[in-house]
Amino acid sequence: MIALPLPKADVLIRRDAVHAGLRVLLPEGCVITDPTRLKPYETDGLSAYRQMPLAVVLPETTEQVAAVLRFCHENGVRVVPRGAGTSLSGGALPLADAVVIGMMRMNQVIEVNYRDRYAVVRAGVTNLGITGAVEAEGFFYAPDPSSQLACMIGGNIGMNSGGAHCLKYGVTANNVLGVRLVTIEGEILELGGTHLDTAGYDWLGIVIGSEGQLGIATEITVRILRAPEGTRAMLAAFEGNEVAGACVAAIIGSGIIPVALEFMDRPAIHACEAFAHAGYPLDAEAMLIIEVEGSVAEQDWLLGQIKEICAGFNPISLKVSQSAEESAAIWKGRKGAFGAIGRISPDYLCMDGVIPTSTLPMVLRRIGEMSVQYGLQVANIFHAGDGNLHPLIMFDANDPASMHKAEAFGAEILCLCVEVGGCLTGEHGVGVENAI
Amino acid sequence: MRVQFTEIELEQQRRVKSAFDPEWLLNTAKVFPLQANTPSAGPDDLPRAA
Repeated sequence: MIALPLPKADVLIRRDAVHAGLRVLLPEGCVITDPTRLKPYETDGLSAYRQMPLAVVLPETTEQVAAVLRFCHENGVRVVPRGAGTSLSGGALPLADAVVIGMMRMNQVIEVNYRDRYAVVRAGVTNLGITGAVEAEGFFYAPDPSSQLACMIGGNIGMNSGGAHCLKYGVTANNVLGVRLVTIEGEILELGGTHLDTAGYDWLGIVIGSEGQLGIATEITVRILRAPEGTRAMLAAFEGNEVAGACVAAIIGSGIIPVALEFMDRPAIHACEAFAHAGYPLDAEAMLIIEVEGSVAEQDWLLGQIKEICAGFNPISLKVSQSAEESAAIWKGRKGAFGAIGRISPDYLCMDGVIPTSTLPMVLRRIGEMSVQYGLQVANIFHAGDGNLHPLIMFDANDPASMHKAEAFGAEILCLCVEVGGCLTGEHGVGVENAI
Repeated sequence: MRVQFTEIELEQQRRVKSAFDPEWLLNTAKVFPLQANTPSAGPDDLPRAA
């Protein structure tokens, strides 16, 4: 069970004064204190945990963020930054004595520079919104969390978010050039710039992934990349998790870097196929989605190499997508996976461990054994290429015993990840979930 | 976090947090185990940023 600190009593009794102080700093309609309107902010993507905040503010400018932080600092009030509230580790979970700073109104693209290949956006622009702003010119923003339709770049900075295509392009930290950061004292700092690496200490390295604990990013300069000539996905179906895991290790070990290499086990395949109708192999125990990109000749060559490697692992079937529509359906199933699991289980815990890819077969076997031991179903859906596991543990939050077991199961998986030389968060952040 | 990091490693990270946010107001209660979720207070604690 997660533990939260006791609220500060001296702040709670000053509730009205804090509300009044915030109203002075922000325009009409930017301060929320009414319990009915605070309700949507009581939780995030880790919805098993809830806590009503003291207030929510929705600043529209960097200066307003600075004013609110300065006020909170002077009055000893805690602050919880929030983007779209999609955090899967509870990163935006409020505290009873905290002011939530929601960044969603700062959703403007400020500048796009194609010659130097960067874009400057405010923190509340969605991940997909960045690509949306530049795709007409043939560019895109690479990191692609599954929540990219909703999640905001400010939150991506906080959690150093990844996604299916980060195997080739790197995570948020590899795609951000500069950050305007507001400190708790209300000071506005410019870190980084408009090109990779700046002189002096790597402040971006400290700030990206700091989970909103060092300051609040209000404007972000990101790299934009030329979109590939084309992409093609293939599905490879296998008789077991371990053999599919071994195939992943072999592909990576051979030196090939597909743009994405995703793994789904039987429960995940069935749940996703039921709504995406992507032609997933229902007779398989495990399936890999492998995507390559480049010119047609490059795609053909890479797929040929990958098929040859897969053939060594006794695949049930190998199917290369024949059209853009077919590829889109394959990805619709994968990106909607968490929602699909929601259709078959009242609740689930999404773990986010990282392991060396060579240990995949052993780790998957151990997770299977734990599933039997705890009596809870688990669906494995994850970014296999970079060893980023997302076991989804299914449970019923209305049953405290089931929830307790799910938490213990999750903790044991993460301990296993550390034990084999990995770590306890790949892209979702530590948040409250993994702090213990 | 206690499985991943030793006490010394956690303490080093808490000092970075304290350098930016000495009173631990920003998204506190996250990342670090609850018992460790307070400002770093060693004898050579970092001076507050100007």
